Amino acid sequence: MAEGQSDTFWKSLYIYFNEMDFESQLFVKKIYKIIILTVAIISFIIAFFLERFSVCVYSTIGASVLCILVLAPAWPMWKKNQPNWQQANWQKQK
Amino acid sequence: MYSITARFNQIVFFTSWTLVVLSLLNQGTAYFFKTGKPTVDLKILSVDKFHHYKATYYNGGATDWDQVTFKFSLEADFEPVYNWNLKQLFLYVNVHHEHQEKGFKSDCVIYDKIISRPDDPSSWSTSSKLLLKNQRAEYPLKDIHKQLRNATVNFEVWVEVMPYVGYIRREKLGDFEYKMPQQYN
Repeated sequence: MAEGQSDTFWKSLYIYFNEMDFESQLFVKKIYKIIILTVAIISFIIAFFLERFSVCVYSTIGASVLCILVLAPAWPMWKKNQPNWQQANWQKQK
Repeated sequence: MYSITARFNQIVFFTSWTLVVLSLLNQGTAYFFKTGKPTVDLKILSVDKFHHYKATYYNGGATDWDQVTFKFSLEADFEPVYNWNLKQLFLYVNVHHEHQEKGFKSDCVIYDKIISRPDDPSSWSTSSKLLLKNQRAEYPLKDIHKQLRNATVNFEVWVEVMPYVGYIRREKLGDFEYKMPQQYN
């Protein structure tokens, strides 16, 4: 981005939801698999005894939609551990 | 996990993979606790409109043929086939007859029906029975070799089992012999 330009509203919104802490990224990477696998296994067992496979499919897809809504965008709860950036030293570059 | 599209992509395709594995497990466990073949009984009640048709300008003009329509009654019980992987059953009644001298074999479907699975598994033992009384066959039996008088024909009852996940298979449930009348009526 050249100096003097500012982002439009949509681009700054995209940047806001895009950037996430490194520690939160590790956490999200672990937790979506755990959530979807436990929901899939438990609903498969429940659906086996109810004899309706649609229960299993709908609950797995619902769990994945929930994960997408909570884990994919960078909400403020995923921005808590910012890394310590050094001060920018513009003087040295000249 | 460094961008929103990467996280979205990983979650969506992980879900797709778990659904594939669950579908294969669904198909694999469908045959547990269930053994047995469906029972079926077919009786021919009447033979209607057993006529000989001549080739005219209005019906193709190629050959003469014999034609007959049947009325039958069918009793069947499909409870051994109902499992959580079953979507619907396709039942059809096939007539098999052979030319008396030359040995040509012919098959003709005279009736078919789609049976969907009832949603509630606690009602499977009561709603799995099919009872057709005095059912008129949908399609007539036609023979261009004109050998139907006094012939022995075989009525076969087939069912095609269509699951949610897996192969579609056809089973022959029963074989019933019948002797056709001697003259046209």
